[in-house]
Amino acid sequence: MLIIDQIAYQNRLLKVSPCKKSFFYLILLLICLLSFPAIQLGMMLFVGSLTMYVARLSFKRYFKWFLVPLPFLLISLVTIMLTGSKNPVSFSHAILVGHYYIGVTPASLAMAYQLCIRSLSCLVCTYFFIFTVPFQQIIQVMSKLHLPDFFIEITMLMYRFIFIFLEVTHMIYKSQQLRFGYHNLKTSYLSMAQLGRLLVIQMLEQFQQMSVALEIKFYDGEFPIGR
Amino acid sequence: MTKSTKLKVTGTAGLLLYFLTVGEPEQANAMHIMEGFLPPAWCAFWFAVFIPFFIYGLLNMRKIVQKNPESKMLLALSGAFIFILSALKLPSVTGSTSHPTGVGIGTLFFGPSVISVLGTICLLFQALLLAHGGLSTLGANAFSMAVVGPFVGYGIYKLARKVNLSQSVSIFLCAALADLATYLTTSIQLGVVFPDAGLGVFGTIVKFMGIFCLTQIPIAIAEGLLTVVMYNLIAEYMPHAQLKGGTN
Repeated sequence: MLIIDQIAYQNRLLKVSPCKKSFFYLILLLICLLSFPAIQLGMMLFVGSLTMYVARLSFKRYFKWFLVPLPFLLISLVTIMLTGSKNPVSFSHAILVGHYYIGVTPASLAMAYQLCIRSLSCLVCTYFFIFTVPFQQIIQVMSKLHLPDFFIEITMLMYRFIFIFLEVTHMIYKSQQLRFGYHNLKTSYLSMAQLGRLLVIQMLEQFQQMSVALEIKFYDGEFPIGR
Repeated sequence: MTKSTKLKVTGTAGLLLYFLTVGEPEQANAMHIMEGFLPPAWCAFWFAVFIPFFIYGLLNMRKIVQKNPESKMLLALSGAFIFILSALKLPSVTGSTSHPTGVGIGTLFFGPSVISVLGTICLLFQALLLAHGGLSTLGANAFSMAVVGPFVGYGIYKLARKVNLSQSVSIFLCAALADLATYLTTSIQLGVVFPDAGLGVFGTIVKFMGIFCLTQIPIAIAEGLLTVVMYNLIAEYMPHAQLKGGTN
C-alpha cells in the first residue's frame, strides 16, 4: 500500500539532512512553476533521471507513478481545450451542435499544452521529494517549521495508526470478498458499512488499550517528537 | 433516420456513457487538483483563504486536547479512520468505483472545524504517501475538501433537521451535498484560472461543472448512501455517543 515509504527509506540520500532536501525541492518546484516549457522539459529530464538514480527505480517503475494523476489531467485538459462560441471564425477544428460551435482554438490548445508540461514538471519535482524524504524526516521538517506541537503529535500518531488499521482493513475486506460481500451493489454497501463499523469498534478498543498502557508509563500529555 | 444510423448513434452514445462512467480507470480518485496545475499566485491565494479556517480548527482542537490530553489519540485514530475510508474502493451507482471521502461521517461525529484539520492532514498524507493531489495545490484542495465540504455538510444537516426531515435523509443530504460542494468549489477554482475566450469566466466555471458533475453525481449519491448505512451501524454500537451533529 504505502510503496512510496518503502522507496524513500532505501534511497541514496537518506543521510542528507531533510531540511536541505526540502529546500532543494522548493527551489526546483518554483523554477518549474515560474519558467516556460523549454526549461520545464529540461527540468523533467534532469530531475527525473536524478530521481531514478537516487531512489534506485527502474524507468518502468518510475513511469508507473505518472499514471496516478492521469484521470484528472486528461479530464481537465480536454475541458480546457474545448470551447464553445456562436461564430466559427476562431476555431481550428469545430463541430456544430444546434446553434453553437464546439471545438478547439489555437489559444486553448496552447494553454492546454503549457499547462500539461508545467504540471508534469512540477510532479517530477514532487516525486523527487517524496521518494527521497521518508515520513520520519518530514516530521522533523514540520517541527523545524514550528508548527504547533500537538498538531505534529497528532500527525505522527495518525501515521502510526494508519498501518494498524490497514492490516485490519485488509483482512476484513478479503474475508468479506471471500463470502461474496461485494457481489452486487446492495451487499457492497452493507459490507462496506459493516467494515466501517468494525473499524470504529477497533478504534475504540485501541484507544482504551493505549490509554491504559500510557497510564502505566506515567503519560503526562506529551509525546516526545525528538527535537 | 434509417435503422443503421440509429444503431450508430445509440452505439456512440452508449460508448460515450460507458467511458464517462464505467470505463474510468480503476484509480478514479477523489478529484484533487494535481501538482503544478495552478499558477503560483493562485496557489498562494488559496493558501491564504484556507489558513484562517485551519487556524480556527487548530484552536478548537487545542481546547479539546488541553481539556483532556488523551483525546489526542482519539483524534489521531479518527484521522486514520478517515484516511483509510478514502483509500477504499466504493462501488458507485453506475458500476464505476470511487473513493469515499469520509468527510460526511467525520463531520457528523466531530463537527466541521475539527474535520478541517484532520482532513488537511489526510490530504497531506495523500500527497506524500499516495501521490494524490499535490503540495503546491494543497491550499486549494484543502479549501474545497476540508473547509467547504464539511461546513456545507454541517449546515445542510442542521437545516434538514430543522425542517423535520428524517435522520437518515438528513445524513444522506449532508454527505452527498458536501461531496458536490467540494466539486463545485474545484470547478470554480479551475474556471477562474483558465477562463475561456469564448465563454468568459462564468461560462468556463459552468463548463467545468458540467464535466465534473457527469462523473461526480453518481459518486455523491454513493457516498450519501454509504454514510447513512455506516452511521446507523455505528450509532447502534455507541448509543450514547456525543454527536456534534446534534442528532437528538
